[in-house]
Amino acid sequence: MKNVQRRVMTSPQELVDMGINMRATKQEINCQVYLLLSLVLFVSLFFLSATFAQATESPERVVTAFLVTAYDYDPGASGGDIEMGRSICATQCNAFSTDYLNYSEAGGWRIIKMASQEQLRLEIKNPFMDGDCLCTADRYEIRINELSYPDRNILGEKIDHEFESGQ
Amino acid sequence: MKYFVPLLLVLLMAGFMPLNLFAAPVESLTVEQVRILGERMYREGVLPSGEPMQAFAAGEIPVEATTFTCISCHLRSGLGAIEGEVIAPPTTGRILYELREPYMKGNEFVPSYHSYAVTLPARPAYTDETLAKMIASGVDPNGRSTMKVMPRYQIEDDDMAILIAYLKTLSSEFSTGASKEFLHFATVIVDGTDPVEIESMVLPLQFNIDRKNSLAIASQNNARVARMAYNMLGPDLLAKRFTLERWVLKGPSSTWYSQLENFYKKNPVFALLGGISHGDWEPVHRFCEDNQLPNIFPLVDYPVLDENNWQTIYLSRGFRQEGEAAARYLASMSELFKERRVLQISRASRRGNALKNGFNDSWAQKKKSAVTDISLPVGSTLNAQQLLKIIKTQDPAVVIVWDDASAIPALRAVAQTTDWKGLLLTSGTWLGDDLWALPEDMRDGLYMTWPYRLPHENIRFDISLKRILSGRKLEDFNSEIISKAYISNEVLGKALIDMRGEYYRDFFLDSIDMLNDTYFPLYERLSFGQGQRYASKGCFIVQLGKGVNPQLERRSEWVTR
Ligand code: HEC
Repeated sequence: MKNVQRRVMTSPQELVDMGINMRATKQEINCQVYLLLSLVLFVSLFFLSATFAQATESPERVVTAFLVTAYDYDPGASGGDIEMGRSICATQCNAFSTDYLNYSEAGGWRIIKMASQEQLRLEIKNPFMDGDCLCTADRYEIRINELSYPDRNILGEKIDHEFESGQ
Repeated sequence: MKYFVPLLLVLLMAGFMPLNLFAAPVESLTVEQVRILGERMYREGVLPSGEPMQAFAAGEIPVEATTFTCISCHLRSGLGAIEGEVIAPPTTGRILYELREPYMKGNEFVPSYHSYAVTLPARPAYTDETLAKMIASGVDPNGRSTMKVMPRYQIEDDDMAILIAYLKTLSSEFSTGASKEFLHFATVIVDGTDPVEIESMVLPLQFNIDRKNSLAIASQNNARVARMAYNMLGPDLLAKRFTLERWVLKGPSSTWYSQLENFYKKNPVFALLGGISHGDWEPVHRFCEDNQLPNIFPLVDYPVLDENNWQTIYLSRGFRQEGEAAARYLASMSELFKERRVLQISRASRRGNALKNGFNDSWAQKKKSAVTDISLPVGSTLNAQQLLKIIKTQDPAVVIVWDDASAIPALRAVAQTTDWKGLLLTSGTWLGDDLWALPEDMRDGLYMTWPYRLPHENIRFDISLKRILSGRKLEDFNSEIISKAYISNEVLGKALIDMRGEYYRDFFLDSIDMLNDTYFPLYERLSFGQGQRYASKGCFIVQLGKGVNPQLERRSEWVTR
């Protein structure tokens, strides 16, 4: 029904994974450095915390979170209606914001700002319109200490843990 | 003797008349007449004559008494609220005719009682005269004007006496089901419902009841527990024992009403908690209205839709709500497909019809483009080739399919076709677990309604849900139902604490209405408000993301009515 050839991000994690291939604007070059850096950080932290976990049983899981601060619509060559596009992009960009409550409320977490005002380009994902959404976002790393969240392991996978029944 | 009667009359007219005029017309009415006339003044702002009451706000500005009704501030129970969207003191006879001090005897150290007592100004007890003066002139017994926050009402003496007599009856005796020692509840189960689902509802409800009762026992033995429980609940609620009965309805729904009557006769409970049915619910709804029996959050697919419903608070408008949300979502972008029509294919079942009607009713309100409705007989499977053919001839902008997972192959064919450009939409909940295994190649082309918070944003509630499972695994239950029962528990607890020992059913419902919006599991937002009886008003439009453990990605805001 639809043939999408463009490189688009659909989830924050994918963005981090694909960050290096992003179409770059002046501002974006700047953030690619951050992205690379974060990738390195992410990986090293992962190993660090993995070893740490064995020693102390307090693993850390790292989640990349975006808090979107502005949005816009880029019709490109499609000639799409700007107002309608902006309204749809408001939702697209909004949905890209991470609901950090899922991490903060579980207890044992730190949130670290990694980059501000990054420009993200997302497909508009609407069958009646083409063009892209431009989301401006601050990027954070949420480092979750699993101490109070004992049913997930360091990879975020569920583990069987009968902590309530005391078995 | 000859002069005695006229003399008495003169005496009466001279001295006692104002008093007697208050009483006389009321006394000539039956208790029931007073209730009806008084209730109309209190709830609707209409005088016994049928005329609207005259009301004036600060600065003697006339305001509509039928809008500024007593009930809009003092609530249906007359017990008012000091939190939430309105703030007004009680206006029931018992409390008005009592001295009010900045503390509540016996409950001085209970936070909910304390904050209540210090919020309201101290005042002497009202008398009939000072009460009439307060309502008519906005001056309380301290001589303080209340006109900044409450209108004054110009009411003739006769009518004022009726209103005051009504206030005296308002929330004057505890509702049945509440006694000094007990608070009785029941939950209604329709026989034949999946046992796992029943268990998923009953276990959390029972856990809540048991926890409350064991708290009472534990605090008899442990001073620290006693102090904590006392602070949270107050001595009165702490001492009460809760009971929960299961009322299982059997046979055809036409017989449920009388079954309920029997249950209720044996055990006239204070309220119904939860309840479960995948089919009818109307007899239970009607029974609750007729007996002024509150029911909070029955888990039903087809709630009774009635704007005047008071007793039953539903979690949502049921399946129908997904259809309504689809219409509002599409209406928001209908400019983009002006003339092209909507093709709606729905299973000819109760669920299919609820979705279809929800869509059509909302769509008609928006006066948008035409809809072609096609009904899919029960027992048949949606045929991909036929569907593609219809799409080819009609070229609709939107294809909606209200059907179960058996429609996935047909949906896949449409999602992949390159001959058509439009939006394909279905109910995400109706696909069941198959939703998570939708083939990758159709995910980009399929939109779905999703009336809950997105699952990956809901994980933070897992811990709370596990706590109410008495050590059993969440996976053994229906987590949606567990969540819903959890919400009932939370709301019950919050409302009872706010009630400060006043066990009136209307006050129970008023107290729920005044709850602040809070984060609960499952629903993105639940909102309470006076007379609001469908707490979740929204729905997301989503697509399924990529990969083997895909997440839902939202394509809309929380679409509300
Ligand atoms: C716009 C909201 C509003 C409406 C409408 C309203 N009230 Fe009030 N009422 C209040 C508030 C607020 C107070 C507290 C005033 C204060 O003490 O400063 C109050 C106080 C009172 C009191 C005194 C309570 C006390 O303990 O001193 C009575 C009695 C009363 N109202 C009765 C009524 C009746 C009867 C009606 C309808 C005919 C009515 N009110 C309509 C808001 C309202």
